[in-house]
Amino acid sequence: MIEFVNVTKSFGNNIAVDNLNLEIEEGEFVCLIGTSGSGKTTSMRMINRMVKPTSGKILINGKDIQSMMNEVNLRRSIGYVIQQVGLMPHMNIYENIIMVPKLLNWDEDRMRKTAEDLIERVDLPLDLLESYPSELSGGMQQRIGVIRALAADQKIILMDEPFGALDPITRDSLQRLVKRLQQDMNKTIVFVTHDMDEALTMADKIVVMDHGKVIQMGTPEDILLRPVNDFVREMVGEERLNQAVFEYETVTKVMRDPVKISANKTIGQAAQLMARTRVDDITRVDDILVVNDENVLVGRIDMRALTKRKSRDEKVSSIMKQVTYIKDDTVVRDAIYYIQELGHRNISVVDQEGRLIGIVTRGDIVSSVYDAFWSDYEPENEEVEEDEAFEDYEKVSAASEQHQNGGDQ
Amino acid sequence: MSGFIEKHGSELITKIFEHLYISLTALIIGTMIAVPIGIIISRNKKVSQIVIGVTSILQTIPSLALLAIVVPYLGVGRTPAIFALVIYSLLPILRNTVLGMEGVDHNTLDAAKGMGMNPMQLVFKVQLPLAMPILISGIRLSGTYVLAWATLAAYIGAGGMGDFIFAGLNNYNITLILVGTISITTMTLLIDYLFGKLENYLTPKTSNMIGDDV
Repeated sequence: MIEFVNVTKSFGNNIAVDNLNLEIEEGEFVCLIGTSGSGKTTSMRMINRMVKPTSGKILINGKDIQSMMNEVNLRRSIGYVIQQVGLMPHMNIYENIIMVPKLLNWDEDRMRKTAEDLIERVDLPLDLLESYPSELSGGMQQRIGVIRALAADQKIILMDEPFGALDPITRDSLQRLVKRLQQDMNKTIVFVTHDMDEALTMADKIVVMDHGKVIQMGTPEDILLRPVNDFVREMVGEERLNQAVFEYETVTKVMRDPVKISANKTIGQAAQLMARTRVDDITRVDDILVVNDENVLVGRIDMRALTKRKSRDEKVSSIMKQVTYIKDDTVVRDAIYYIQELGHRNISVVDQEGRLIGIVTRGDIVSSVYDAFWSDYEPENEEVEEDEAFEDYEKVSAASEQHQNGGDQ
Repeated sequence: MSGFIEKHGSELITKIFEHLYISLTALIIGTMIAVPIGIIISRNKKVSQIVIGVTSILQTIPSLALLAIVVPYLGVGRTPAIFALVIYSLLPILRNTVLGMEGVDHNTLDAAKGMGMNPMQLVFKVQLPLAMPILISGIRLSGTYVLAWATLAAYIGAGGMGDFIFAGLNNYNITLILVGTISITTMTLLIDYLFGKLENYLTPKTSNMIGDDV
């Protein structure tokens, strides 16, 4: 729907946007994110020709906007929301909402109906229409700012850090509101922000920019799981990157090879296998998973089953029990839930056809949580084990004992 | 006092109207020149600085000297007096127009432009209404100046209350001087009051709360 082709914008010697190529699909929510001076706002403002590119072109629906129509008509067809809201202080809320329809000479009935519909959509009372912007709170003003950008049924909405000046609670509710409106009304939104949380929660596609260049472009998942360089890692933040493992990574990342046996092997062979694995200590799993000839998981046998008095020559299928498994596209967070909340010691992982590909144990989960949150944690008195430090420690504890004794007297 | 009214009453009224006529004509012409120029030059910071600089220089010419200078070109009478007063009225109006136009919050302008207002709509629907209070107070200020300076217009035969004051000075007639001065002061206060009303009337409403606009 919107396409940047080799777009460059320079102010004097200062290159604000450097050869930008970007495609935005209809109905897509795209976040441009970067530090200040990254060219994100300039890029956005070129879409409604508030900024003229130095070279390259921008296409909307395949047409070059520079030659398409005059800039005023272009701007009337694109919604525009800025951080400072920019409501007209001398117009009441109704007049503010219908600014663009009025420029387009809609008739009064249609404008009135549009304004009333929109104000109800954002859960504000109708009598607010007669108020003036100065009488509204910041959050309410920006709600009006948002619906003003929708009033003429614009397909594309540009938003320049619209919630940057709001308190966190108001920001949160407006984020949800805008996301809902975007999905309900199928708008294409280009959203500039420097807040990664905002981008991650709202965007379909995130464009990370720095010094006028696109550093990485992708879904929130791409950005979280595969940041291309340290800059992106830093923008996202270590904590989010680590948490992302649980939210987006599948269990295949943390699973290990299962101990398995074919269903038509004998109990004797199973016992042997179990004994061997216990000795080798490959895994602390007490279970052996049973698969059929196609490697499809069919059941499990455990120690207790083996101790039942059965002939060593009987097939393992005669003593196997039901097995819990998850598909290989299950995310780690859900696996944690099954293991922690449902009390399984371990869960087998199968692919979409039911073939056994791995097993996730409680221990694996613990170590992945440890890696994510505690990997750089070191106990304070780590040196205690070294000899010298140990002596010091003893002295200190002896001293403190004496002190305590002294205190008792 | 009653003797004075008998002797000068009709003349007083004539002179008051003359004075008002000269002053208000100058003010109206001055406004008609300064406001459009102010609007146009406010779009360019450099130009506006130059124009305001030039007007400030004009302002520093002593009023009596200016009146004397225009006589050779425009002769004596009302026309040169009005011309000189127009020049004097320009600066406060021009400066306040520019200040008012430039003082409009640039986010408001950015939003209006971004939503598709053309340059004329930006000026007349957003900038000018919001600049109105400052603009009017510039005219108000000019009005009080012009009414006071119009006194000197009597020197070049334009008439007005100056005639009373100069006659009083020449004949050492304190009454004439006092009557002239008090009349001018009263007119000035009245005009100032009326402009105050006009300012309130033309200031766009930005709130429904009573008392917020005034």
